[in-house]
Amino acid sequence: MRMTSSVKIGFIFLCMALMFLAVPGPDAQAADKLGWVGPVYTELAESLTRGFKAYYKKTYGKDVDITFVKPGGWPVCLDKVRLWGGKPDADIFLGAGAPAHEIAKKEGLIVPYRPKDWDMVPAKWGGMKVKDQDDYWTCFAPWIVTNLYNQKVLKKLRLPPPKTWHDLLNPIYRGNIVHTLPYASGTMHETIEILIQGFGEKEAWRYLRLLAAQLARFSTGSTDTTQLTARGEAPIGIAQPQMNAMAARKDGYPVRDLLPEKTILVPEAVALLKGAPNEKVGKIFLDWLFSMDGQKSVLEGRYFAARKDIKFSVWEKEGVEMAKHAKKALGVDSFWDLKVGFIEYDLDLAASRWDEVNKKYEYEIYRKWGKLKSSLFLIEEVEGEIAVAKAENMSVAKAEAKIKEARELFEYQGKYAAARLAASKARALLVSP
Amino acid sequence: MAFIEIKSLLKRYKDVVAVNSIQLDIEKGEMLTLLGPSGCGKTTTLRCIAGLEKPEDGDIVIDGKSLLSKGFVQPSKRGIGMVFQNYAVWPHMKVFNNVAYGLKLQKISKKEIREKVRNVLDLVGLGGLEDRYPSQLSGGQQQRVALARALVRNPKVLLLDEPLSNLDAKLREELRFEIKSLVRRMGITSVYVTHDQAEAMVISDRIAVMNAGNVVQLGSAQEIYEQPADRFVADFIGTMNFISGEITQVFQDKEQVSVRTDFSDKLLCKIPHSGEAKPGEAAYASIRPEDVEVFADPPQEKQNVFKGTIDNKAYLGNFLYLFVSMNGTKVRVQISHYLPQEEGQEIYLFLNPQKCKLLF
Amino acid sequence: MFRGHTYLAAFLWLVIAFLVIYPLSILVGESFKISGTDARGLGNYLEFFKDTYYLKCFGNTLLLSTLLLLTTTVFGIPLAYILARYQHWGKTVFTALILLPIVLPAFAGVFAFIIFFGKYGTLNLLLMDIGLIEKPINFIYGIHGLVFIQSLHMLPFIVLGLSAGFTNIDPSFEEAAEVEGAGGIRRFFTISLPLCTPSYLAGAVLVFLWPFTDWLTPLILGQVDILPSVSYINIAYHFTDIHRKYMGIVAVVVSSIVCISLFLLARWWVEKRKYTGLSKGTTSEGRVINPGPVMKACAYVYMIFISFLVLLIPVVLGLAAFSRRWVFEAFPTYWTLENFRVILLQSPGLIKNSFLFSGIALILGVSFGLPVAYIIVRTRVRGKDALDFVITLMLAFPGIAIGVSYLLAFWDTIPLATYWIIMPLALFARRLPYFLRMAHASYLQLDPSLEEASEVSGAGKVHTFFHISLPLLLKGVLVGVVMFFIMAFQEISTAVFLYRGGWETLPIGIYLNWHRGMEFGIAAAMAFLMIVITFILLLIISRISGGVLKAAWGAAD
Repeated sequence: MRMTSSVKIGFIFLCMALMFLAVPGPDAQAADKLGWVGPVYTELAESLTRGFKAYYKKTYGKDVDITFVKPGGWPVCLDKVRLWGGKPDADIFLGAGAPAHEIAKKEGLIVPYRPKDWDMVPAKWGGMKVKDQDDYWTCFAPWIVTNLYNQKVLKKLRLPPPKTWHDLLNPIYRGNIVHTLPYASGTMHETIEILIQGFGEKEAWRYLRLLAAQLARFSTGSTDTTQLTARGEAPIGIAQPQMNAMAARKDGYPVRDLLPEKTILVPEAVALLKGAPNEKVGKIFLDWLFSMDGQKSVLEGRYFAARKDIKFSVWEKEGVEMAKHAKKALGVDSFWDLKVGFIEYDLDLAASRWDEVNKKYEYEIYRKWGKLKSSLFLIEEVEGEIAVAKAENMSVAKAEAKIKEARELFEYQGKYAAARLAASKARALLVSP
Repeated sequence: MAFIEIKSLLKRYKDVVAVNSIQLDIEKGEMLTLLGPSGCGKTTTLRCIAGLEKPEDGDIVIDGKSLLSKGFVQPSKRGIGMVFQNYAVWPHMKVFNNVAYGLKLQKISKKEIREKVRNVLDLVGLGGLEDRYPSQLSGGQQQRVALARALVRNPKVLLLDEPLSNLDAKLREELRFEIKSLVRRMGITSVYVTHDQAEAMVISDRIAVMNAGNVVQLGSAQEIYEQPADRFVADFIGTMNFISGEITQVFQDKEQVSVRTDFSDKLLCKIPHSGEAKPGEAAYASIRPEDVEVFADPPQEKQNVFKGTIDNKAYLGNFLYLFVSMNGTKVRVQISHYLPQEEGQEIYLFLNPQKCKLLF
Repeated sequence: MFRGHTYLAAFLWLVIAFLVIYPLSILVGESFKISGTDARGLGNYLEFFKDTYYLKCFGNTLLLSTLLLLTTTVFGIPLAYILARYQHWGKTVFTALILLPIVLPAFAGVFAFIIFFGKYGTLNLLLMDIGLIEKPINFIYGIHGLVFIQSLHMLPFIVLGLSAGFTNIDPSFEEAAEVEGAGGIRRFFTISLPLCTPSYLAGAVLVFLWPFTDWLTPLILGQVDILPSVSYINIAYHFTDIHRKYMGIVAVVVSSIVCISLFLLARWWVEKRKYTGLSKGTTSEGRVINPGPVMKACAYVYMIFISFLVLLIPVVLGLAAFSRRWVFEAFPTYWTLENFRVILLQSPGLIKNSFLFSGIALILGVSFGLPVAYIIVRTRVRGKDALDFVITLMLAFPGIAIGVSYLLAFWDTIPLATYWIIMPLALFARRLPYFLRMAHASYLQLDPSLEEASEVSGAGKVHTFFHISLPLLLKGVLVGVVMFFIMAFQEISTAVFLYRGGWETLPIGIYLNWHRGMEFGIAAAMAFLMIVITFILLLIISRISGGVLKAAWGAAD
């Protein structure tokens, strides 16, 4: 019963030391290894791990240990590979859009490999490359930068789903739209770039200002946008990775994809790293990834499958749970059946002005959101008054000119205070021309 | 050589000197009391002996073994027993475990422990209460547990820090004698700290009166009461009248001096070492209230008789207490006989020169 | 002064230096870095105080703090008065309910209120169904919602402070005023309330500082222009824009400075005017009044109203936890245990992590907190007051400051952040002050002579600690231990910066599952699970310390 004090203290330290040592160590059992690096969602990594492990065990009678490194977004992942300097701690560059893979190809970080069933992935779609003709990278999970809407809530509000970018500016949607800040979400940033490259710089910023006035609020990230849309707090969500609709569907939310007329394809691609320590297993993985089995794992991981020869309805019957949600979210039976208008997207240009665009949005729109709204609402009010005055045959020429000036100041120059002033002047001119 | 030697012990708390380089020798088997008002350094001295405080300078030697000069000896290694003011009986342990605590730290068999604990509990009169928790005991019983705990290991030295101050008056008086006879029977050298002079006088062989970190007088109860070393001791022990004045004459042969006061030119006082006194010096004539004799009429005695007026008169059962003013000087007087005079009336006081002592 | 004490104090200082001072100094150092150069300077700070946006955020935060304090005070005064003075039925139940938010995770409250008060939440749907309103009312999105939700969370701190004041005031103060002729209301405002100020202020400062700490509630409600949320977004989403990150760090440092200064100011003020020592004599426990029937009815209605709001949190989360697809319906219609199946079978790691990290943090906390309490209370080691001061200051530090500083400090030179041990270490550093205060308080109540008696009996200091001090401290320490565990269990604002794949705790799981929008039922189930675990722990404390009230008291005291 009696323990000396030193024994007791020793015991406590031992306990603490044990707790520190209790880090899960590597499995003693010899197993083949495979390493991934890339920015994909955890659900996909989990689904692929499950699928590939089962396949490997069945085919080779052996276990495979998979490590997944996700240090951050795709630029960070690419940096990580560069840092490894030809001796990577992983075998596969998993995920990230084709642009990232193009850089890796240029810098010689990846090596060509053509997986079996490579032919099943389209080479081009809507004018965009889906796989590399030199076999360096192949898209395994395509998606589109898109918008979402909540079917149930829009129906309740008796609002038709908006079809185009410009539909979103219709006053009936005011207060029902949400998007995040470009610096909080890569997808939002890309959406702004799409608008700039698709409509031209001037029109794009005008559009963004007008869209900002439609917002219920800013969300804090693209998945926060999904959440708000799914729950109906703001039934229309802008700038979404297309998969989010499917994921929300799975959780029982009546969310649908709202494909805009101008957008881009993000061909989530895969490549074999140069100097891969487990090259053989890596190649087996790539072959499996494009097989029917592998593609089902992709879909179960909440990404769309890339093969041309699949039908969601068929897979649904085969028991692939996500197939049903994918079909409902997209409204078509295969990803490649979607009718999309893609724009010419200059990635280098976008990358070079990334921070600049974000800052411009933040400083000119987000930080002045309150002023922006009050300015636009005043302009609209005065415009309404002018219309009434015109109907009563009053002389409105001066006021009309002034309110046009206000519009111009607001939409193209972003001078909200000046626009407000101009609108006030227009109102004054209406009373005493 | 004394059993406990305290050599120029110095203890400071920041800028305050708590114990000012005191010297103290305590003989084997002796019961010494440190007596003084609160803040005089008595408890600090005791805690230094126990090792609960680390003095800045000096040494403590117990039974020839230095506790400080050859490295600080931890309290646990000093072989002392201590009784605390608030008992410090551990509330989470039964009486038995409280007492057996120190024994269990030694290599002693369980049987022996049980025996020793039972013996000491019988000794302090707590036999049969081994399985009680402290909360089930009265204050007096708890103090007995503390005493038993301190005694059970047969300590070389027993330290008692105002052990009775938390008890009521009756119990306190009872326990004083009990502790004294118990400690004496066991022959343990002990140091007792108290601020209660009556307790000190009852319990101790010798008393060390402390003031402001110094030992001002060391001696038996009688010595201290009858021959206080200075004004502080005289004032602290019992009640004392101090009459301020100036020395006018020194009578070397009779060990007497004459003092001029507010009410008299010639008040004779005893002074043990009359050589120290010089005419013209300011000093106090001191006399205890019970030593003042009171007369209704002028007595035969010529010297040291003065007339005074009764300011207050109080009847306290076995004696009368008077406040008398003599030309403005107030004197307290205690008499045990009847006095017809009432407040405002005049009486005569005889300040016996043998009992009236000069203090500086 | 014993040499062992000096060594112990030196070791404790070392731990503090490593886990608190070093990371925070790195944080401050980082805030001076100028992006794109190697230079350091005041540039970021100058920009912060020149930029109208950051100033606006700063102003918003101050406004929110003021509104929050105002709301909690206005609602808290009658509540505290009723609880402390009125004789009524169900006092314990109401007190427990009103104090409950202290131990509920703040984010759990937000989620529950979004479900209930959201645009298409239960209340709006019910109102629309009965035709009272056409369009949904915006109950929570906006500064009013923030004030509402944060007030409910912080109300207990005000109620605790005030009701302690009302209970402890010597009745003779009020009686004297009554004799002097002061009527009830006048007496309340001139005597009772002013006398409560010190204990009120202790809670009030925590309330006022909350908006400088809570980044999550504004984030979830989409009110991002609040200082800590701006910091979070700037730091967590800076991508390639390093300057944005530095500005986020500047915002963290500024909030920390505000928190610490206000905290010290309040502390200094409270120390300066403590009224408790002023009265002597009567021992009665304040005055208990039996109010008239009208007042009594009003008191009940009021208490039930507040309790209802508090109870909404566990009830709504419970409903959400046992259902799926609860959207656009006032109440769920599809009941299932699926959420719990997913948590317990598919990702039991979160629960394991939560227990493991909080458990290790707890062991560290106890093995560190008890020696610190010992050094502070029992020894005269030089610098012990400074030790006490530093640890108390940590109470005022926003969690985000600790999280960010750990991320910065333990990355390159000391790569601790790459090992999971960083999680419990951060929890430990963040929640230590809570435990220390309780250990400190129980140590103060332990008479030193009990320990001295042991030493004199031949026991060494260590033996004495384990056989005398620890058993006697145990009750107080145990309450501290459980509260520490609850607090560590709910911690998110530090952990969210440090977790990596596989290290997620329950709160992070809730945040991710909600914020990603996919698994809202699972988030609710996790939050419900946390509430249940917290409840069980609370029951344990109430067994130890004899009442939920006291248990909760410990948290705020």
